[in-house]
Amino acid sequence: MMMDRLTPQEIERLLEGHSSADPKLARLSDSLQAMRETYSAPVRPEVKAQHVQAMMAAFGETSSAPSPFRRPRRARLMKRAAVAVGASVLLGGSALAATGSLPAPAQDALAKAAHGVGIDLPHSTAHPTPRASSLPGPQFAAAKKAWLDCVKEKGKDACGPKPMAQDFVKPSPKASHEPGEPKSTEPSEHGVGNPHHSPTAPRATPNPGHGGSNPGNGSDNVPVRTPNANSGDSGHGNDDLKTPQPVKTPHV
Amino acid sequence: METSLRLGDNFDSVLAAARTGAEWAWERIYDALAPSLNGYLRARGAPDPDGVTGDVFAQLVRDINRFEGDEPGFRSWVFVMAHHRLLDDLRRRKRRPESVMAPEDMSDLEDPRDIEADVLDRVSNAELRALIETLTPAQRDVILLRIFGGLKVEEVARAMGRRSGAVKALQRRGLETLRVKLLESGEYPNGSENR
Repeated sequence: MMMDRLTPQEIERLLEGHSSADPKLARLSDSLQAMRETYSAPVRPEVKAQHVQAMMAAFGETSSAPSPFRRPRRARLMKRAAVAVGASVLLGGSALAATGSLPAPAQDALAKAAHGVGIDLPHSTAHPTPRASSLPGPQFAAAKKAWLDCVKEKGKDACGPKPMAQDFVKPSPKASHEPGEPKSTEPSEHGVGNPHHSPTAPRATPNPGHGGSNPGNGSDNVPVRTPNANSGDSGHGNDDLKTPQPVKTPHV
Repeated sequence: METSLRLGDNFDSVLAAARTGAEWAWERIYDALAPSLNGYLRARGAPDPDGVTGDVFAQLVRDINRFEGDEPGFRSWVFVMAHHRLLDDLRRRKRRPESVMAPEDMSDLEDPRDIEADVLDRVSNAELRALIETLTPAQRDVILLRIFGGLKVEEVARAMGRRSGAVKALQRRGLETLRVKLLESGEYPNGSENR
């Protein structure tokens, strides 16, 4: 059966629900309309009530549910991070305590506490291994350089004994420290970086006339270098920079 | 000619109220869309058109804040959703055929008078059904989405994942198939005779 093809305009009119006056399309147009009306019956009231109830329940769930990609995710991540940090601190701290590598007060406190529950942890004094801070470092290098400069200028005899590395090794204060004895101070306050002190004097004794608060540092087992007695030290040590005269004092 | 209500000028206010959870607004939206949506699903041969309709509206509630646009856009958005839901439902039923209903569950069935009415409806719709069955599934999707959902060619193309040209070809061939079928039968289907 040969028929004319439908034009795009005719197709649009049919699908949009316009009735056609064209007899050759009337039957098709009516059938489509029948389809629309027959199938698009109103939903039964009980079905509608059920659906609306389900919709309101779905709305309640949606509005009460927290946003899926904000706080819960962040909170979860924070919680995991906190657990990870806590576990690291616990394990790391235990390892340090077991090897006696904690700072002396913490190590002693932990050892004492652990002893109370039957665990033996080393005390801080149980490890006489020199700490990094007790190794000869910049102080020794500076003293040696000053001595060499002095030798160049004045000769070996005028500059005293050559600085030796072992003279600058500070035994661990933990090992040498007796209970009740005042602790030594760290050299950082009077170290090389201080412009008022000689680079050749890593632990210069304070000038008694300067109102020093720690005369002599007598309890320290560190090489104590006194300013050159001949330099006319004014107490600030600046003269030492001009005329380095490293004089090693014996260990206390 | 439209078979469903339109929200018209009230669309924006109804949509805004629906977003705040106003039940009256959801009822208005339901009344405007459910008949044609249900009609589309029934014409398309959904085994459980009411169930799919309920699923579509529940999803609509969940996704309402994602929608931006006017009423025709809203309508086509809902029909695209329904089309996908229907395909999901058909696939699921194909994989997992429904089991026979246990006798104790029969008490939940609807009023027998409604079942009888449904059967009568189905008999009277048989010719229309036969007419639709002459179309290929793709032609059926295009024509039914257009006549029930009022979707444009481009919207149908997007919903079906096809090009606009392909959709135009499908609708033309589908309509010509229907026209031939009607001429061959020589009679109107029952539904259109009653008009």
